[in-house]
Amino acid sequence: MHASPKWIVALLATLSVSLATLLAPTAQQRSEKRGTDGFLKIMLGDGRRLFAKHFFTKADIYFHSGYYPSIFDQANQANQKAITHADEDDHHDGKEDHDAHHHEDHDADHEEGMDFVKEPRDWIERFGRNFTINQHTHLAEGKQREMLPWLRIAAEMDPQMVTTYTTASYWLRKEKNRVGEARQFLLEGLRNNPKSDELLFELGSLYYNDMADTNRARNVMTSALSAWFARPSQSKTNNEAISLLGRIAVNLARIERDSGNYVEAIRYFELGKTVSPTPEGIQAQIDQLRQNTFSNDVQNIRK
Amino acid sequence: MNTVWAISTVVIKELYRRKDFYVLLVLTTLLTLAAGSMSFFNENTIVRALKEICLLLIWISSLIIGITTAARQIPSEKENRTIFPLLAKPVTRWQVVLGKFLGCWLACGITLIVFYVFFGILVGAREHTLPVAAFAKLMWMQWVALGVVVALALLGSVVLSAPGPNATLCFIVVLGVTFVGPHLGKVSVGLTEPAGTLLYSIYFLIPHLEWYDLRDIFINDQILPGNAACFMATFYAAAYATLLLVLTWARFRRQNLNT
Repeated sequence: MHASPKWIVALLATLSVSLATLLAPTAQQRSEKRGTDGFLKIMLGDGRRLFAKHFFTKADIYFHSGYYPSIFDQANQANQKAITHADEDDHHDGKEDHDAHHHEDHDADHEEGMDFVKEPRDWIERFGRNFTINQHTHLAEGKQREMLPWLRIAAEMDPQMVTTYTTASYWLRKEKNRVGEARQFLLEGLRNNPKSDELLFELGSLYYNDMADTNRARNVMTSALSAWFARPSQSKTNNEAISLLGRIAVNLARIERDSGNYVEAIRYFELGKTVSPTPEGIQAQIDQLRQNTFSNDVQNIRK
Repeated sequence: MNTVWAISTVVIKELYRRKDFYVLLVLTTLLTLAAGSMSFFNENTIVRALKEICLLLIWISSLIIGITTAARQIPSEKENRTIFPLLAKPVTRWQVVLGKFLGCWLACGITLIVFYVFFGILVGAREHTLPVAAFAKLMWMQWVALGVVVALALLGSVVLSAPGPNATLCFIVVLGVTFVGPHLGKVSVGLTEPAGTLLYSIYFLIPHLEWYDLRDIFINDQILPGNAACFMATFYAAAYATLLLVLTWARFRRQNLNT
């Protein structure tokens, strides 16, 4: 008996559909269990974090238009810095505030690290300068989008690297005015890092500054503040953590001030003042608010 | 010169008879197009990352083609015993070395033209500009560097009998020279003697192939090196290629071809 090819094709089609309906739910369950990073996790393991860091650096290299120190330059700089610091320490009488040396602004430090091109030591290095990037420029207005692919890939590689989300959202908001995409990316970051105070702060800042959604901004900023206080005590003392607390407090204070809740605003400004490097400026805002509160009270009494 | 040219044309014919080039071209095209089809934050005007990926693939492909083609030339002639009729023409061993080098180098050039045409189409489609002069400089410098690489692989093919280890060694040397070589001078400063002097000497001895890699300058929209610098670099590479070819010939002319 010879079966018609049409029947064979029909039989195979039926079989494939049956098999698909049988296997699809199982595959879906497995992928849900593994999460979105399942494939990369299996393929690269913890090595994906190294790749994530590499891609994040790649974005930074783009920002500096290719003018970036190699690992050898960075090692040289670190050595020279260590020597300079040792020399400075020798000149100190031991009573000075050594912490001041460590309270350097991150960006300024980063830019300082870009001063890695020294006088060439030989003709090879001198001639080689013709074929390398020797001018420190930053990506021009509107060109910052070129960094985004590497940041996206870095986030795929290491979803727990919070800096990737905050950096990408910053550029999307500030340079590209793509608030929707920035919000989506931050929400994705929060799904992967639900307790991150930095991400909550960024999201709150986005709601407040770019979407003028005060209610959501307040809720998210309050969550950021709670998340900050829920940090382990040893991670509250570093400069970045202290700076973050200050920014959260000041932003919350501004939200409350804009909503007319001056008492709450003063409370948050007071908190911000305790960690701010410029408490005088915050104090001026507190004084202004106290005056407003007093005026309001007087108006209420008159009514 | 006719003899050298005749030998080199055989090598070029081998390039389009073998599948290596086509496979690499298809792979480069597919990977670049796949990368280009990806959308990041609904932004379709991003082009630098795509240029970088495409140029990286072009560099990898051209290195594979250059090294593998050069590494197998003399060993395969010996293995197939076609070296005997070739040398009986009469053709001198220097002509064989020169012909093989010229063939491999021209084959690399043809490969680069095809790859850069694809790259040009890609950049033109994305950026709506076609910087032909920049492309020519980029391609020329890469081709010059490949000349040194091909000469190195030819030298390896007369020192090592099998093409596999030679190709592997060449890849390691080329990658090391390109990525670590430029920093040996800096590293040598922090070392104790005699390691410092030894490293600094190596730094002067190795060919500085990193000069020919202009990808970063091109991708980041920086100014490409001037013609004078490119000419000097070409002269430098020619000197190294000549030295390597002379060494190849010196080894090859004393070699017993029956073993």
